[in-house]
Amino acid sequence: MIEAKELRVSYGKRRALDGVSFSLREGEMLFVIGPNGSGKTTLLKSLARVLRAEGAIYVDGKSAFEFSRDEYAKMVGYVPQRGEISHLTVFDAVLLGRKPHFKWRAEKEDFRIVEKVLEILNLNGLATKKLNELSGGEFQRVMIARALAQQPKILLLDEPTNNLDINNQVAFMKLLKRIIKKEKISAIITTHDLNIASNYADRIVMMKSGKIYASGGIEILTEENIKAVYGVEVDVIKLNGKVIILPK
Amino acid sequence: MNYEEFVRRKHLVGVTLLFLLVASTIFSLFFVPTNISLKDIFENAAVKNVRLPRVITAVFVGASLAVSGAVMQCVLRNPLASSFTLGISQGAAFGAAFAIIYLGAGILHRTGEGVTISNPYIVPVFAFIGALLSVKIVLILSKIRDLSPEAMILAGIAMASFFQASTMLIQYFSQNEVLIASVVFWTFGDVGRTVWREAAIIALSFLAVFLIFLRRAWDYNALLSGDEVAKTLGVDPKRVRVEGLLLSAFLTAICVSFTGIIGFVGLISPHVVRIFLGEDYRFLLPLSAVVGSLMLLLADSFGRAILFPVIIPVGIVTAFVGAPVFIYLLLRGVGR
Repeated sequence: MIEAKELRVSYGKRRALDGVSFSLREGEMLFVIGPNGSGKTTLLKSLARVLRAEGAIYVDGKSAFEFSRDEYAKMVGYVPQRGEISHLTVFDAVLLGRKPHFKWRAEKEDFRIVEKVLEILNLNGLATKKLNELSGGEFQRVMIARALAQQPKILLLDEPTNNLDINNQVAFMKLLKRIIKKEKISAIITTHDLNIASNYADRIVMMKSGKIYASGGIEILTEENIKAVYGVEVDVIKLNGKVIILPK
Repeated sequence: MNYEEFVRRKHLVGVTLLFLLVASTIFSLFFVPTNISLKDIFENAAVKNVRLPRVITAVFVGASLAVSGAVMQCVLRNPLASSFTLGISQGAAFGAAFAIIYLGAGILHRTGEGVTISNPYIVPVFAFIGALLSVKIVLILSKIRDLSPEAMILAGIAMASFFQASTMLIQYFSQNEVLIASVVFWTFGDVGRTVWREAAIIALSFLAVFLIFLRRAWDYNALLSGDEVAKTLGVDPKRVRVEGLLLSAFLTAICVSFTGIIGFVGLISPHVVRIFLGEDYRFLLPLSAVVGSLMLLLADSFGRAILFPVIIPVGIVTAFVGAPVFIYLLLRGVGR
């Protein structure tokens, strides 16, 4: 589905990404974890083609840079960590996700898709509210809705649960998982919350200083790995088939 | 309220505003400051050659300033942006003054009527060069990270002062008193000096640029979500930004060349629409244009009627109304 080979990005002298390679299959949720400045956001921006990374990205076996931006937008949806708040209405902000499909003028089909996405994300009551009037959780859902309206095969989410309370976090993750399985989307999600990663990940990539330190299933969430990457002592507890990470 | 109703309401507001504009145009044409009859439009030279182009100028200059303000506010992500607050109008004024004084592109027509542009092409060209100078500085400033919208406007005010001083300097050293007087007159900002040909240039420039802007409406909507998201939606933010600023500078240069500096219309019109009907540029652009036209037309009618037979230049009227609104917008906070 999506494959990255030897991605490298430098900010001045600092190597933000230093030879990152991985691949992801259809319908999988990949969590990227690692401390601040380890290159998670840079990785996502490179995959979204917001940044031009050295190395290669393949989507469906074809190099990402062969696609025009419009074509790429139909396959890859990106939600940044902090979206910009405008006076657009919720409906228009989501309709924006159809732009790569319609170019100049939204058609009936585009409106239908937006209505469907709003319903899935439980936003239909807010269609004519302006973005600057929404709560953090609502705004987050609008951003995801916009990305979903692009009907992408791959969803890139930068710390989507950051501004949500625990109730909204759980609701959001459950919803996301359901959409991803149903629409056969792959998702790459960065997070600081190791327990969210352990709960929902199909696969995990652990980053440290721009490199992949470990990757695999949730079995890589070990006390040793976490100590090596974050420099913090934790207990990894297995409970009812779940993995729980507790700082010591 | 569902989305279709919301869109219907915007259409309704649009039609209402357009109707108001037509009504105001007719009112301004026939009743301000003196009543005329329909026959006068074709037969009375003063009506045909002064009042009619004046009204047309007011309508299209108002619309031009408003859409250029709306686009600048989007591409710079700065709700206080407009050609007046960023020093682009003043840059254009300097370029135009330069052309008038050194290239003899304008002459004083009759005392009380200010300058008539004897060459309607050289003045806009130099005004455009002056406007581009300001745009270049704005673009450089906008690349500086963490420059707040307010700081950008302060820089714009500094630029405006710089260009005003430059304009005064070339006036000061000009030997030709007639030309000096003409430039002074013309910095007031007045829609009453245009002849038919100039009114036509203004109207055609507006229509051409407006169509390009409208075609870009979704790109502007994308830019509202930030450059990064815009990129992932197939938009090239840099291109849209530079194009938007260039076209806005062009419209500003045309307006300033023939009417002088008219402040605040470009800043306020998009705000009025945004507050009531949101920021979707498909609607914001045309609605701002109509609101801008209405504002300038009413301001000019007011200026013509209030001290009749003395006519107050519209630039003075918009400044009196606009300054308090500008301060209100500042106090309200850029972060909305």
